[in-house]
Amino acid sequence: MEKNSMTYTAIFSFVITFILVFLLTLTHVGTKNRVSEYNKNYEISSILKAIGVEPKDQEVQEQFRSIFNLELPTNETMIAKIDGEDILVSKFSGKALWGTVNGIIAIEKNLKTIKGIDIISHNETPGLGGRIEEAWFLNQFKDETINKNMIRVVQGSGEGNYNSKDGIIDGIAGATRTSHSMEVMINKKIKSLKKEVGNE
Amino acid sequence: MNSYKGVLKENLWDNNPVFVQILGICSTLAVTNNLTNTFIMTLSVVFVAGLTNFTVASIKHLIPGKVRMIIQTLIISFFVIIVDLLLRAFLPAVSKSLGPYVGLIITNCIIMGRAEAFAQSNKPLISLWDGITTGIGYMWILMAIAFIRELLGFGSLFGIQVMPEGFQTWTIMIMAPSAFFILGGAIWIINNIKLSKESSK
Repeated sequence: MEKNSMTYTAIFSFVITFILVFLLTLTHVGTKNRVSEYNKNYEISSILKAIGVEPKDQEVQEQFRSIFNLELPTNETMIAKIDGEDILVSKFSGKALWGTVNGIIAIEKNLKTIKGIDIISHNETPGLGGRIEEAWFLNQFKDETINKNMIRVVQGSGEGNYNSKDGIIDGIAGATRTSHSMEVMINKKIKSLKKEVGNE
Repeated sequence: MNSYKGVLKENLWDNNPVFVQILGICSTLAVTNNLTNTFIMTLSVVFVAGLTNFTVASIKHLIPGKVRMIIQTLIISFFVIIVDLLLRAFLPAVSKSLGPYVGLIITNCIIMGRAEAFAQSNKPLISLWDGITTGIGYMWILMAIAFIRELLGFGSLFGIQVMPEGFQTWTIMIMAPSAFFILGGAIWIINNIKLSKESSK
């Protein structure tokens, strides 16, 4: 057959596309379980970190089960039992500078104190806004008092604000927009949790 | 006409894709602020460039001239998606931090350039070698840039803190523009070395 003919071109394109896509499908199917397992465990580790439990690599699912009495995380507010206390755990998300930030927030049931937060995913600039996932930033939220139904993320001294009484978080230098977005999305979540709990 | 040694020297130095042909600059700016990411990214390029060249050279007699380029792109995309899937499954942490950049290897002009310029007119094995060495030529200069950027921007190498406590990190090094300055400086130095070599001949 003439190599530059229409028929040959069409058949060749079809066959090579078919072969390559077939191989891709095989790879995808072969790795699918591993990927979804990883994503599930990643989310569970985030939840555990938010409530202040150190996730253990292979056992995160058992850890989760024993604290939440649930098989897997749900999108609704979950209740964790820690030392006989009920902690509300909920996913939060919101727009930041480049994209959506997804995270987990754990708050005491009376909505007076944040237990902790963790970030699941974000698209902020590495080294600037991206530092919201670093421990020094997240640890500022540990046991933070909620003042007048809100927290504030402000320009601080640069050392991090670990005073848990004032409801103030030290923002990230060079990432003002990301820091502010964190404040907005967390306050929004506190508000919606308040509604949810108040209606019970 | 193309010896293995000649191809190696050509791709690593004389005709380096980054500092001589100025190709693949977009990824040079984007991924070089951290050595681990740069290493995985450039390793992926070595893999994709090598296998794309090999595949194109193997089936070049079957490819109709009219759709040559689009078939090359198809083959490149195939290998890139394979890399992406494997990273997601086996190195999820790296895959997360590389984000969209792995997918963008498809648009890396170096790979397309080698497939069109070399693999279309050479035998499969030497094409494989050409792809691999081009990838390594890309790798070493990116690793050198990433070394400077991570050291000054984060005070660490491969994520391990090496600078003393209290070292003031350079925010500019984390941002993409710093790669412009470093690459510009590197091209200047390398051209000087080349010129002085030529003039001493």
